Amino acid sequence: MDDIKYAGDPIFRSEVREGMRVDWDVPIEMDDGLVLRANVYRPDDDGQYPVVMSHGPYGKDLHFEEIYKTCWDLMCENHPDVPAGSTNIHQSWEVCDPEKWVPKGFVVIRVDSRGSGRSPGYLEVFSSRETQDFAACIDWAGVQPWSNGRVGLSGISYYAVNQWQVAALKPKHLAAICPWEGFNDFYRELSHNGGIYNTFQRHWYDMQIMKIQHGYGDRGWRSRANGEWAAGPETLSEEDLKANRFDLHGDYISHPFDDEWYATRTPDLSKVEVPVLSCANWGGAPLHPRGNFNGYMKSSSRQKWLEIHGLEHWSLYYTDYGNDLQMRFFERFLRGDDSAFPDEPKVMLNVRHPGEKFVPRGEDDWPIPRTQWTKFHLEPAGQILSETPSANDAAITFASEGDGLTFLSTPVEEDTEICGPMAVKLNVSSDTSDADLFVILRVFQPDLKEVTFRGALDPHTPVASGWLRASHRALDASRSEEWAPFHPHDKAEPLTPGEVYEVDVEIHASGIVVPKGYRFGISIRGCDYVYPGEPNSGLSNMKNVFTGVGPFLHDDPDNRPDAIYKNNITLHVGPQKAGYALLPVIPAK
Amino acid sequence: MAKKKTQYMDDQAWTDVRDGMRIDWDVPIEMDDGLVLRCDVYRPIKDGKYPVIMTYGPYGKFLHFDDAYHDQYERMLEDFPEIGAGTSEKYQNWEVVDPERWVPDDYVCIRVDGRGTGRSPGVIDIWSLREAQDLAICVDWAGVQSWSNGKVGLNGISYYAENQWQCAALQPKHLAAICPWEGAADFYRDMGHHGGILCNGFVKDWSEAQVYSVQYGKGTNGKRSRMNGEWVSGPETLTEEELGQNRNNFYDDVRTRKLDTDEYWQSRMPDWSKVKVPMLSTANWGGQGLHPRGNFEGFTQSASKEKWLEVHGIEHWTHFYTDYGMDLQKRFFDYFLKGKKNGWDKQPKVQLQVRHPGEKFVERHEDEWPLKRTEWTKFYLDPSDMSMSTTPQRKKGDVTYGGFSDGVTFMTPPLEEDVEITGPIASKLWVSSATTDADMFLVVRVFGPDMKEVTFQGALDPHTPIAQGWLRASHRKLDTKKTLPYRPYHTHDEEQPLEPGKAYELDVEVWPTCIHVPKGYRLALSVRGRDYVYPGDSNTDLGEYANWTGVAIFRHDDPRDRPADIFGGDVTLHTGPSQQAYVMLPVIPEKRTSRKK
Repeated sequence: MDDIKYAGDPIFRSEVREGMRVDWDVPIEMDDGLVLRANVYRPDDDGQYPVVMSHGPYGKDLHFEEIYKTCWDLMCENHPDVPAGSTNIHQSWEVCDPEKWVPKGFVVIRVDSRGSGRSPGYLEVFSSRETQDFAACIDWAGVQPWSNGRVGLSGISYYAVNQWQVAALKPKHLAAICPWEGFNDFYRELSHNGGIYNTFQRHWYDMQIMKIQHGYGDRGWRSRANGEWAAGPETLSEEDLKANRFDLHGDYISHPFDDEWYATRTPDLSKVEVPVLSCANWGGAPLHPRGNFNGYMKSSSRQKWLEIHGLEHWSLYYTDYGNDLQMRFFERFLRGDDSAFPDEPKVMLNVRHPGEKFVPRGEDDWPIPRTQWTKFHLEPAGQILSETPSANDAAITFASEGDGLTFLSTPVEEDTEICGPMAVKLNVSSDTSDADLFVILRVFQPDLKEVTFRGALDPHTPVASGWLRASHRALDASRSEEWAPFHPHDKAEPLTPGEVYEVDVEIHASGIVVPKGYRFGISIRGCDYVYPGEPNSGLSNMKNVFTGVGPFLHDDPDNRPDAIYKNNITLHVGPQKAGYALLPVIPAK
Repeated sequence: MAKKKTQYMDDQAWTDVRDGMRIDWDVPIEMDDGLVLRCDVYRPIKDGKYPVIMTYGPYGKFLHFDDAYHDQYERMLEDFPEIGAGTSEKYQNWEVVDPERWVPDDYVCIRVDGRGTGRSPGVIDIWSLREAQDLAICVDWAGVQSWSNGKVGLNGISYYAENQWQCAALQPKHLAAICPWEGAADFYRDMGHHGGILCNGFVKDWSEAQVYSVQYGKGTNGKRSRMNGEWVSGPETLTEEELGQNRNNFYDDVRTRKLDTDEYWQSRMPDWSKVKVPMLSTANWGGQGLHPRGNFEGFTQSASKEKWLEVHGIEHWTHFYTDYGMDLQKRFFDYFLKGKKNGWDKQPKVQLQVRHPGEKFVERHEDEWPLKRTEWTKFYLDPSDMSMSTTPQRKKGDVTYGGFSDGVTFMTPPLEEDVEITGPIASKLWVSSATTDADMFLVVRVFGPDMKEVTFQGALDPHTPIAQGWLRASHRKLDTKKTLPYRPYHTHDEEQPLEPGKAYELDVEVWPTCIHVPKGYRLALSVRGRDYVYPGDSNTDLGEYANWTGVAIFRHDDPRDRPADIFGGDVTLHTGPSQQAYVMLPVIPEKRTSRKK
């Protein structure tokens, strides 16, 4: 059928293999005439099936192992259920394995987004043009002969982020989304955490996007499944490639405030109305989980769920656990089988315990309604966390590039669960006109080994983190909660050196059960967290060794010039100068 | 190769003149029981009477350093290129001097293969009195050779240091000076049974990997020497059975001798009152679990009138070869073996490389050990908030942990000013057990403002904590004569089982240390039920030397020594007005450089 429909198309092919019909490089024409290319994996019959789609720049024909070998090996070693039951020839980074989905009666579609992989055009990741393309693809998929008219979206990271974006456009055939670890605030989560520029995406662009830009051609990789160039068929010159993509770092760093640049990208969550299964990772800060939490809380969808898990960014998505969760959700909303996803609690937690232990538990909402919001005050005498505010005035100074300050609790007398959003209030002064604050919630074993987790990327990820540039301290009261200060980041209000300012730091939501005898602590630093042990060698798709924050370093010299940010920061605490962490303590049910 | 015979050589021995030296290989030395040991004599080509630097031990005199311990050798040369300067490196050998850096200064360097190892036949009995007697005979042999000035010095690391104490106590006539570089002395307390707890990790791993691997008779199954092409552990090749018969099982020997009163230990222990030769005792702050206690005890307990103590950091073997270490050794031996008036007599009695976080060492000279100006400061343990402070406990308290667990950690608030801790450490604990015994593993620790633990490249482990001590509760009996306020000394002559639930007073010796703790850092004492574990995951990408968990091979985890039914039970620490539990730290005030009256 499609063979006839696309007759004459120079690169379209169709074949039956691995128990599926695979249509390679199906053309989808956009409203501006550009033709994107998609792979359609579907049951080899005349039925009409629900569609599970992804749209993005990582190369639909690039095998998972090519760039992400360490990620693949780690996943297969720890989760043998992932490679089991598949030839794995169609595995690709952060999208589902069609061999696991097509036999269950789904059509799987991967679209190479504009300018990437097999799709020509100008590459501008996450642009509104790209979101419109995505919407067009969804509505295209909704009317194909093999489609039952209901399209669901599935994928990790990039393929999750643009689900929020496209859902806000409300394409007609979009029936449900499952953003698996996907942010939605392009300023606070992606580029400027608390107003401080994060260099992650600059390196990400080099390592993960430019190497699969359309036209990278024979410099890159051939598809293991079909032998064609994954970023081809054509090979373009370096000049042409450069002309065909935007200057990501230059554009983002030249927009230091949350301005129109971000507004065109950050979706209005209130316009997201389709059923949502938002899947967050406890260890994903600063990039993704805040978006999953906010997506759950702020979307207008009447049918929405929040799931929270641990381990690496990509692993659980591919496991039996991840596939089962998603398939049941899509069975209900794409095929109408309500029994598949019957009475799921709104919030599905894998409650975190030290030692990578996760215990499933359902809750009714997020934040958890029975949360006991508890203030732990900074007590400068002995640098401890106290249940009562400090009675005396004190000031402690630390160098921004040093180890900062750490306020520790005494060993907890019983298992204590901290789970939800959190906030820290501080009074600070600087000897320059600004101060970058890095605030970390940490947990220590009785022998003072820090409890860190195999986070989304760094194998030594601390329990929770927050960031704030002091000159961005202004709050938007109408959008703030006591446990979630919201900074508009629309202007800088420089500090007068030596003057004390009250600042509120949003700590990205997290969860941990602190066992009896363990201590927790708040570290306040002037630079990124550093894991107090050996660094890790990192991942094949990333440049840096991992020192506790994965690739999420705030080390751009243009954004953090020494003259201002190589400073001495003074923390002031006293009866008139509050200093505390507001933590969500969860009583047993 | 031409084999020139001299009168003191036999059919197996031969001489080469090369690399500026005359090398007599496999020279025979007959022992009083008729056994013939083999040694290599590296000496100036020119005839003359020279002082002798000797070593005796089991690591194989023909085995090149790089062939035996490649990673260590590479790293040492990379960190300190000076070690490879002025030498062809052809004769480098594990933990003994490089003759090419001594012979040109008119020294004779002699390496003797210990009984049963390398080129010397016989039965291996590690650190036995028999070995010490062999070494004494070798010393006196070397003192009367035609090329000898009659003065023999002993100078080597580890094994080659430990038997210096033993040999010195036998007082061979020609022994003129010793430089035990990182050498344990009390084989029970320093090595075999720390506080009464078997150190199976070292005893087993080391003896198998480093001694039995070069046993005499390995022959063609062993290695060839890159120095001269001969078999390192030959010339004979013996069967596995014969090899087995020719060695005592060190691990079994140590494991089954549970008390220090056993003849096995007593025969090995040097009698300090008989150690009278001039000595330069050099310790490593990071040698916990093996050597430094011997260097400190040797310096403080020996009868020698002329003695010096030096303490340094980094790896076990490195500083012995650096310009820093060579300069110390040369000045010391020039003075005592050559009679050179080089001012060594003005050398301060104690030379410390004071440790600061970040592998920083600052040299300082002192007159005695422990330092007279030490402010012995008791930090009392408070289980109510797991803190420690200089305020004694007013209330009763207790805390319980599992016998095989990571135990409990008491910590100070961040220090308000820099504090130096240098010297021996003693801890008093009140302990009850759910069973009849309990093993106490004490670790003195320092944490940075960000709670990163300050550890050091120790003698072996790259993450060695500040200080450690051990005690098996049933071995708590003190020798009241030998006990000092800052250094409890246990008799280890009987086991006194505990009555379950009853609290006992324990005095734990924590081995001497040195650390300058900066303001804002925290001090802590961990009381554990098992070996210390470094709280940052090791990363093997950083090399073989990161692949340990904080105590290198000095593990105490032999289930035969620590059966779970006795040592896996709950242990409770008690504190209170009449049970003051503390760790006493040697706080060092700044030196007054000039006193104005």
